[in-house]
Amino acid sequence: MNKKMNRKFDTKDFIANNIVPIIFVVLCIVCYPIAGYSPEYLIDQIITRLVRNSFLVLSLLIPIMAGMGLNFGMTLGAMAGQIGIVFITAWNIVGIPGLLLAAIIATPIAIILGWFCGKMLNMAKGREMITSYMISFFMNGVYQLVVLYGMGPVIPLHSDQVILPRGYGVRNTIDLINVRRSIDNFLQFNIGPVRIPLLTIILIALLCVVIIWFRKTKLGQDMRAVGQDMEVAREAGIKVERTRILSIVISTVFAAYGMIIYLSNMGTLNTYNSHSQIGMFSIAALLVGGASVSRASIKNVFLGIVLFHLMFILTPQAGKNLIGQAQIGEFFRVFVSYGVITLSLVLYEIRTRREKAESAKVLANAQEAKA
Amino acid sequence: MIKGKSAKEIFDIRFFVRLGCILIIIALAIFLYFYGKQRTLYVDNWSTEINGVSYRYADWAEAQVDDLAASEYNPRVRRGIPLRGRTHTITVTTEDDNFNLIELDPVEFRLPADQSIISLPGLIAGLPVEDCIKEFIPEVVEIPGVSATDTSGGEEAAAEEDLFGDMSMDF
Repeated sequence: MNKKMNRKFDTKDFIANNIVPIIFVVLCIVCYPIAGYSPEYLIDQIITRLVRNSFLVLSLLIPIMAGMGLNFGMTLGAMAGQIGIVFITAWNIVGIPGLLLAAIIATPIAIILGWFCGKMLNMAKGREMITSYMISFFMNGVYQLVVLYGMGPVIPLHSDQVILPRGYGVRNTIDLINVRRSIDNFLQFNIGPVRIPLLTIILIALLCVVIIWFRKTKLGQDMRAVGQDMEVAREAGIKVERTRILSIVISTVFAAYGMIIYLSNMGTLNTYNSHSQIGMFSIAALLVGGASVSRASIKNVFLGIVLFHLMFILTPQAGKNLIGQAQIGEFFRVFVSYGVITLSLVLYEIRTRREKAESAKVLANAQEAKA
Repeated sequence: MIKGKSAKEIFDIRFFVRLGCILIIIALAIFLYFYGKQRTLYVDNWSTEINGVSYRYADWAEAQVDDLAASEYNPRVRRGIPLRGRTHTITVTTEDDNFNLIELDPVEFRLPADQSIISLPGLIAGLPVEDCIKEFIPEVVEIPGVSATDTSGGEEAAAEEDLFGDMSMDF
């Protein structure tokens, strides 16, 4: 502790470790006066988007703890959440009971998909991120097959609101008017022009508490041990493969719940595309908050979402005011997301190599001194 | 039985706790299904025929379902009200020939289908509510020159087929 406190603050190190959030903060500071939005509007927008995305981004923390990197396989959880939403819309179940039922339907699907993903990732140790990314593409195909051809004739759904007029396949867009903002509007209050969706905030806070508590449990400690060194953990009697699968299952289930909250906030389900980008944006938001492939915390989640969305709100208007093109914000959204992930992966690799080189140097010096 | 475990080892207290949890969740899901299901009740002020007797529309009526806002019904007006749950109460107010307001006793009813229709003239005539409420089946009106088998959603379905083409844009 004292050692930590006495360590000299190194500006260079600080910048190197937080380069991504610093870039975003600078971008937001530059864009804010150009965009010309009022602080009240910005705060309202940020709170709305924060409660929309937090659950999804928080679901990424547990696999990072278990050393499995950024879980691109969270898309699988998002698909499970969407299937739950499709069912309740077809059955016309409304409000919070509808969302609860969607969560109950999504849970077993998410557990099965998470277990499958975890099994696959155990077969590809050391290449978890690219494998989970590919699994999400593979499962996307399966999802489309089920939703486009299975729903109607195989899975009996007969709602005009959901099923295409030809009798099978789910519509491209589903209006979620029956569940729209039902969590947000429950216990909502206003502070001036800013809307505070209390129930959603309570749910997010609850998940944060669960994550903090989980880290202290036996399973949480096992995950941390596995994340640090699999072989040492195995020697210590931890069931490494089982622990890794569990981390992915928990993440997938949380992602399914996160997707349900996200969709209820949005009010529209884009059946074939909603899930495909959600993993990318959630991971980008986490990285913007200063997380890395091997280390992420709750504060990274919230800082990341705030900065990420602040930029999305400010850049279209700033772009419009500067060059008359609001579309620039959309371009920004895409290339910044991919760019941030690339930058973070590169920085992580550089840092890992540097640390390895430094530890090798220390070891060599120690051996020299011994000789 | 499984990996050399005996039945006693498999069906231990943990097994029954887990089974209990799953059953509770299934029961909760069933409850949520019935509690959260939304049905539509059409309150109808059209002339109607019930049990072979014709009833003329009311010149003016006001109907309130549960605690929702009351709505006025002029002749030949029909309004859909989304409702949750099966059992509800309707309170009807109308006026006599001398324009005196008459408030009928609240009537409790059960929705027979996902889309039901309740006849105000029948209720005003004092018929039992079971006779006044029935499943709402929209009438299909054939318009000359327009085929009944016309699948207007064909274009949308075709658009869905292009989905895989759109996906290639991502790569």
